[in-house]
Amino acid sequence: MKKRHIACHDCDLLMLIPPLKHREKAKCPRCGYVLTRFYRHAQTKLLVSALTALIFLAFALSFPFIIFSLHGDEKTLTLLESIQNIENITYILISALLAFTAFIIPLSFLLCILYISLSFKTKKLLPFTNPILKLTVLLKPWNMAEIFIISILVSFIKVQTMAYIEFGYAFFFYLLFIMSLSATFIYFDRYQLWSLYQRKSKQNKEAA
Amino acid sequence: MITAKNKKLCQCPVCLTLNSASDSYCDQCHAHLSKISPKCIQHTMALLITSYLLFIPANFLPMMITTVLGSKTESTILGGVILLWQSKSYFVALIIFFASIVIPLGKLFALSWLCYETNYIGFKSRKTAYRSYRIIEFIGKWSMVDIYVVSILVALVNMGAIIKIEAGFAAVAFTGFVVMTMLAANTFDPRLIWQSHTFEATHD
Repeated sequence: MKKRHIACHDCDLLMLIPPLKHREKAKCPRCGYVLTRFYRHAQTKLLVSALTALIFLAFALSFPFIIFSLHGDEKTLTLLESIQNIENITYILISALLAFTAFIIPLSFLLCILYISLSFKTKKLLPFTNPILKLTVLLKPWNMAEIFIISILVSFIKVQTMAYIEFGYAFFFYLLFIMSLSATFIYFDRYQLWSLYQRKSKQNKEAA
Repeated sequence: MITAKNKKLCQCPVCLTLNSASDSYCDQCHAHLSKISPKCIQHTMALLITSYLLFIPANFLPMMITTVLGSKTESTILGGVILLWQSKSYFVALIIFFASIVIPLGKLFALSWLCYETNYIGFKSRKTAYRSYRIIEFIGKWSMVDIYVVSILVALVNMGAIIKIEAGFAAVAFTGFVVMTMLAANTFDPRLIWQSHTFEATHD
C-alpha cells in the first residue's frame, strides 16, 4: 500500500494514511472516525462472504420461515409472502419499503460486490465497474436485514400468546444470511476498494 | 489543523478522491461534491420539520387493527406497548417502546439541537456534538422494527373470520417518519461541527 493524502470524511482534516498491517485500522486523530481497516486478503474474504450470503439468502427464500396454527388451522409463510400479503393499496408504501430494505437492497449490494470482485480479479476492469462501485457505497446504509430478523423475533413473541407458532428452516437460513452479510460489511472498505480501482485503471491505461 | 478546505480541496463523499474546491462533481465517480457550508443545514431542517409533522399521525392514529371473532380493537403505538406490558412480555414491550418512541424522539431532538447550534450559538463541546451525531446515524434504522413487526403480523395472522390483523394508517405515517429522519441525518454535514468559525460564517 502506498501513502496517500486523504481528508477525514467527518471532519475534513487532511492526513496521510501510513501503510497498515493486518487487522490495523486508520482513525482520524481529531474526531475518531475510522477511515479504513486493513485485512490480509480482504478482496478474497469479501468475495467469499458475499457468495456465502447469497447462497443462504436463496435457501432462506425457498422455505417457509414461520409455521402458525390456530384451532387446527395451519398456515405457513415464506419470506416473500410476508411482503406480498399486504392487500390494501394504501399500504403499498410499507410493503415496498420492506421489500427494498430487507431483500432487494441487500441482494443488489451483494450482487454488486460479486461483480466488483470479479472485475478486480480479471486482467482488465469490466465495464461499468466505476458506477457499480459507487452504487455499492451508496446502498450500504440502506441495508436493514438485521432489523428484519429482530422484528421476526418480536412478532414471534407477540403471536405466541394467541396461537401456536414455530420457526421454519428459512428462519435459520436467514440468520446465517445475516451473519455472512455482516462479515461482508467488515471486509467492505471503500478506501481500499477505490484505491484498488485507481491502481487497476491506471494499469489498464498504461497497457493500452 | 490543516483541513482539505484550507488547502482549497474538496473530498468526494463517495470515493474519497480529493478534488479542487471549485469543482462541483467528482473527477473519478461523478458524484455531487457538497461544499462545507452552513446553508446545507436548510435541507436537514426541512426534513426535520416533515418528520415532526409525520410523528403526530404516527402516534395518534391506530397502528394495528385486530379483529377477533368480529370484534375490532384498534391500538396505537403506545397502546400496543401498554398491552404488551400488561400481558407480561416486558422484554418485547421495552424493545418496541425504545425503538418506536424513545429513539425516534431522542433522534429528532438531538438533530434539531445540532442544527440550532450550527446556526445560532456555536458548539460548546465539539466532541459531544460529534458523538451524538454518530449515535443518531447509527441508531436511526432501528426505528423500523415496529413497521416490520406490523407487516409480518398482517401477513401471518390472517385467519378469515376467527382472527385478523390489519395495519392502520399510523404505519404509513411512521414509515414516512423513519425515512425522513434517516434522510435528515444523512444530509447533516458533520464537517460543520469541526469548522472553527461555523457560527461567525453564518452571519457575514
